[in-house]
Amino acid sequence: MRKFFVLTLILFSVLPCRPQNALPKPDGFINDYANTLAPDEKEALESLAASIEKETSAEISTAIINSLEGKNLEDYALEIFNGWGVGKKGKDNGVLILVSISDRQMRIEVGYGLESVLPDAVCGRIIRNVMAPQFREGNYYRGIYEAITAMGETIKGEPPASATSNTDSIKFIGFLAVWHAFLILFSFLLFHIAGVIIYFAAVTPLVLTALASENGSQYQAAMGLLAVVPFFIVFFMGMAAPFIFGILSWRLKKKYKKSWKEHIPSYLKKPMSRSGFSGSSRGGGRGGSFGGGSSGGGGASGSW
Amino acid sequence: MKKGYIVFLVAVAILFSAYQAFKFQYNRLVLLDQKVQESWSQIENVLQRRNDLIPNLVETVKGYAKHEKELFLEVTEARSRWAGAKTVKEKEAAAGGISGVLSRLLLVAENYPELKASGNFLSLQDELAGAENRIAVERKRYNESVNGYNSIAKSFPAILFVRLFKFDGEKEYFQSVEGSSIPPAVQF
Repeated sequence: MRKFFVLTLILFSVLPCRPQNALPKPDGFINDYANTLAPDEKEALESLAASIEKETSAEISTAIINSLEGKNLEDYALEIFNGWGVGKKGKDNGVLILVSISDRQMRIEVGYGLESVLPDAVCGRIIRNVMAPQFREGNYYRGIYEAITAMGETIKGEPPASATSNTDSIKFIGFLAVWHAFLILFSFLLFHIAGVIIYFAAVTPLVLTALASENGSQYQAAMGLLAVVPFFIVFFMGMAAPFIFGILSWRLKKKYKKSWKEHIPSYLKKPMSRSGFSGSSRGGGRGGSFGGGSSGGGGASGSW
Repeated sequence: MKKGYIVFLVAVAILFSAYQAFKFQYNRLVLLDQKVQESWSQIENVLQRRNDLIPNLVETVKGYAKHEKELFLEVTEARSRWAGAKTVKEKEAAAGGISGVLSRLLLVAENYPELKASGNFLSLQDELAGAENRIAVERKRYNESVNGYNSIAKSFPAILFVRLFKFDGEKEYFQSVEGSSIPPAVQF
């Protein structure tokens, strides 16, 4: 049993590791590596991008760098875009505004899912008519703010992209099945049949909600709860186990004097190590703040 | 009796691992081959996307520059060459031809300030630059997948499978064609 815990611990501690690369790490939607924006300006842009994401699920991110250091603007924009994974996975509805201050160059990189909404000509127009004139005056904040607003309006005007692709949800259901099998095993180990009954009592309403849900967001919420709620139930069962067994053994001791131990199944006699729980909650977590979208080089470039 | 049982088990284990090794090699080749084909069709997609812009561009330029008849003829020829191209090499050459006439078409606009300033032309220029960029991206991805395939297909255990099952011994790279790597939106 202990080996098993150690194995799961190792497994979960290895999972979040990602290969390192030279790309700067994103911190929110607005990443100002050249320090051109004042803190309150960055705040305003951040909340603007967040409100667009909330409404349309499209992720409009911005990267301002000092210099391309000889790299090609288009290549670097694509590298950042796919490296950060701007946009939701499966929908690829991300936009990256890359501004290089000293090169006086900029690019709007558009993810696959938004290419029909924001064709290159529209991006080019935003660069020429909105961003470049402001940038020429040194108003980087205004230029970016108006560009994000314009793109947000365009995206809002379009019907929302269809929900996540089928393979994704199948993968997620597979993950849920394994996860629940795991948790059922734990609850069985903790409380035997009673644990399994408690488990199903908690999970069944959620499954029913998911099955009866009428729209996608309801379904997604139920599925999300299905992934999280059982974990807490098993966790609390695990926390409660020592107390309940303490009371139980105390009362049994009173009743049976010293022979009570023979009435308890052998797997409950050893105290359980519960170190496995703290590690396993990290499963399924995301590294960055973006959803994992990708781009094939759509968008437009410009200079000022 | 017990000895026979052990021999049987060992034989089964050896057969199973041989099967696994075979399966791994074969499936890896199939997967890499599939990836090359997939990225090739992506290239064709983006090249087609650029070609679809040509009629619109020609119409726009015609509106301002009527007497560039030779150039318009060349555009038509380049397009029909593309339509007739079959192999990777032929398509590479045809795409290069189209890149050439496109950049000349855009260069012509320099002589016609009204054309250059028209919103339609600017939009087309953006679309063309985008198309060129997509071609560059997909070309890079295609060449990466070709590289992945070739390096496996030419090395030892896999080469046996290549010969045995008639996989392509070597996939062709898609070379950068002169002119196509320069987005046409540059300032002349």
